[in-house]
Amino acid sequence: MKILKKQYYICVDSKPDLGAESFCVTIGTNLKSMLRGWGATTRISPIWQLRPTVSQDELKTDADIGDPVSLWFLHGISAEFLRDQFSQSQLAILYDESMWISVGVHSLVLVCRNEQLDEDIRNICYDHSVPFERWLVEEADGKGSFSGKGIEYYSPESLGSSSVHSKTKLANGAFSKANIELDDALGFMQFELYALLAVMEGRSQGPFSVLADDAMKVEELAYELVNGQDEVEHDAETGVTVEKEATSYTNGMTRPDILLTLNAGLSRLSSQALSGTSPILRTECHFWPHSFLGTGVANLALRNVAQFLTSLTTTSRYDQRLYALAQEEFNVSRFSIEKPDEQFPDFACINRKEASEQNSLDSISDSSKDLDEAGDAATPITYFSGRDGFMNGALTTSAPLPSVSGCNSYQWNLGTITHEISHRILGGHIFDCIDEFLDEIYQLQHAGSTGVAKVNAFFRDAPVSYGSYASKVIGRVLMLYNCLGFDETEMKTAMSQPFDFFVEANDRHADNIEELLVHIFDFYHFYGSDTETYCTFVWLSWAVLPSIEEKFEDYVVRTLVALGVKYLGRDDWKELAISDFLSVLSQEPLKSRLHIQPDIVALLNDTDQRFEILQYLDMSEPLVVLFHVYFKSDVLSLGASEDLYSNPENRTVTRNGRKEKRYYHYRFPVDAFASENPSVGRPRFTNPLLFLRDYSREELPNAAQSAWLLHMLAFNLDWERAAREDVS
Amino acid sequence: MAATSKNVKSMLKSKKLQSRKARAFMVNVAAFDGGHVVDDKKRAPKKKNFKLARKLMDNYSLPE
Repeated sequence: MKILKKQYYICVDSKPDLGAESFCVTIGTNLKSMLRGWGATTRISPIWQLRPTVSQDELKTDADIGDPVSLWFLHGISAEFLRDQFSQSQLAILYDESMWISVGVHSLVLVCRNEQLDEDIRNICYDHSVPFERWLVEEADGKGSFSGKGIEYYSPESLGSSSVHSKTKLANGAFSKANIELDDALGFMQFELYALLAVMEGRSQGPFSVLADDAMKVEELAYELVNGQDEVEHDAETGVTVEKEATSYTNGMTRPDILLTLNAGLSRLSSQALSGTSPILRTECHFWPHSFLGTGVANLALRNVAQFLTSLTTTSRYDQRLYALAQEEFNVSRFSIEKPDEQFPDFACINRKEASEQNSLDSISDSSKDLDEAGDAATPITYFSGRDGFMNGALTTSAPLPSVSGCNSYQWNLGTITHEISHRILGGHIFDCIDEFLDEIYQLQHAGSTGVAKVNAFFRDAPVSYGSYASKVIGRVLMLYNCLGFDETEMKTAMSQPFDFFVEANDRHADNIEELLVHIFDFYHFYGSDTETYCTFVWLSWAVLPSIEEKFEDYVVRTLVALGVKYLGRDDWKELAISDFLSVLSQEPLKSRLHIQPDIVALLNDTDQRFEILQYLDMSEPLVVLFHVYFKSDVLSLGASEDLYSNPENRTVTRNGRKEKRYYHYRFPVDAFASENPSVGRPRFTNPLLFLRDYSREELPNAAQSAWLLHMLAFNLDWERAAREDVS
Repeated sequence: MAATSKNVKSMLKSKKLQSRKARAFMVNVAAFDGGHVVDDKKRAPKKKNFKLARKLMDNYSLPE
């Protein structure tokens, strides 16, 4: 089975005057002509032709094939279904411009030109519980246009039909809680949320029902956050329910914010993924290039990548372990100390090599009481957005719209979402550290006279727990970064009000410190410290940002700090990180595909600018040490680097004159994409990150290759085997 | 769910910290509208005085 690279479009016009189910469908490549003929009901989607492997002997003559009988829209299956369930002679009838894949929930489109085959398709779908719509063709012009006014619908009972199926337990729970008041903004937002959830529940079925399940789980969290239920204390004596002070995180500002971002995400997700659902003619998608069939396969693919990362974090119990570690005693005597000067406290002089060999988080026992809180992490609501691009919110994560048609390429690679998910994993913990630090500084400022000496003493005080160690390290890096705006005299004045100084430091630099830690975390855990892949993927995804030229110095520092995590034990770690980065920059694809490559190389080779970069690396070094001592989990890293189906030898292939590591060795490796006939393989995998690492390495976006990749991510990820191996 | 929601709550609290100056909500709304909010607090400092940072790194403490 082949998928042909050439993009076709399927375009539909409804003709309500001829009946609710009348249609005129055109399949072709002439987009201009379709746009010229656009009417009020016109909708369009790209599709790609599938071509079965049949011998010349099996090919049918025109007389055998005949005129179009029907158009079939098959729901939620990948191309391999055709190969597995259809005979060679059946496929031979569909050989020429009759079998198509789309990225909508109706993921296969067939043009049937044979009465017997028409009956066979129906029976195959019945046998395998594949929902379909069959559009009965009455007229065809022989040039790719078909019209008719009769549609047959099939949705197996086991999957539920959108109109009659009962709500899931999750949905019943969610809707029974709905407390909707339409007379204020927050109430209206809740109304919108529950309407969106109802759409998700009502329209998703089969493999897409996980999208609704995810939404219901996120609703539980949103409900708790908005209503602050778990932060309410009930006084049994007085019968009064008191909101604890801690509920202020859901104050008047953040409540609408939570719902606004969640509703925006759900709105995009439902309108992208669950348009083009049955009845297709009445569920148009507002992502207009996909207005006919929607982008359900692409959304499911994106969701599966995010779900993989969420489940890795859940099964390694990363959150719970980190909360437990934060409470553990920080005993600095277990490390060798290398003091340049007596002024330095021990905890700031931990031997870097020993630090880099730490694995404190994984050594937290499973029986530790804080681990009792373990529960399923909610997969974020994922959606595509041209405006948001790759972006992380409290309950949502977005990827750029161009990824739908270009995720085969470095720049629109869905693997980049690991960065956003890393923010989800670390963001709250980093904030806790900063919050604790600011509380302590607040107490210092309000405990009486203060000044440089008191601040110095504060930073020399030994932390008692891992959490307070992390808090102090991050506080110190905040100070180092904010120092850049001060000279000595100004600093002495500023230290008379240290809380004000650090609140400003937090405003200016906390985001950057989170970015630095997230880059280290992502590189180490999700890229397996693979410098070439990391630099290539992140820099080519940044290259599409319009403002990249103006701020690439910050990104250079973030990259080097991340790369430095490999070399922290070495005195020359900064030089080694720079050397690694320059080496990747000197090779393809960055050498010619990254338009600011010469600027970055010039920056790193210029004496003055390199001096500045080295200063930033020195200032960030405590974060690299902190990562090893506090945030690192080799259990998480191992989970992200394994696939039960991958080639254990990590085969190497030569492409574009350079060697690349390959994790999989399917019959149809990615190199076949270079030909005009990329092939639809039957890969199975348990790790979408590694899969993306193999198949998102094209220098240019290509919609056919992307469609293939999205189908694989949506339908071929073997969750069952991954879960079995986790248990064992 | 509990441990995860703890982490998410912390993320939201970090927004609360920003909203002390009533910015977080506006910034988020603007992001959805494609607007551009120039946040003067987040501009890089005009000065890049590495001398003081260097002293702080070399001596651990600020000069008294």
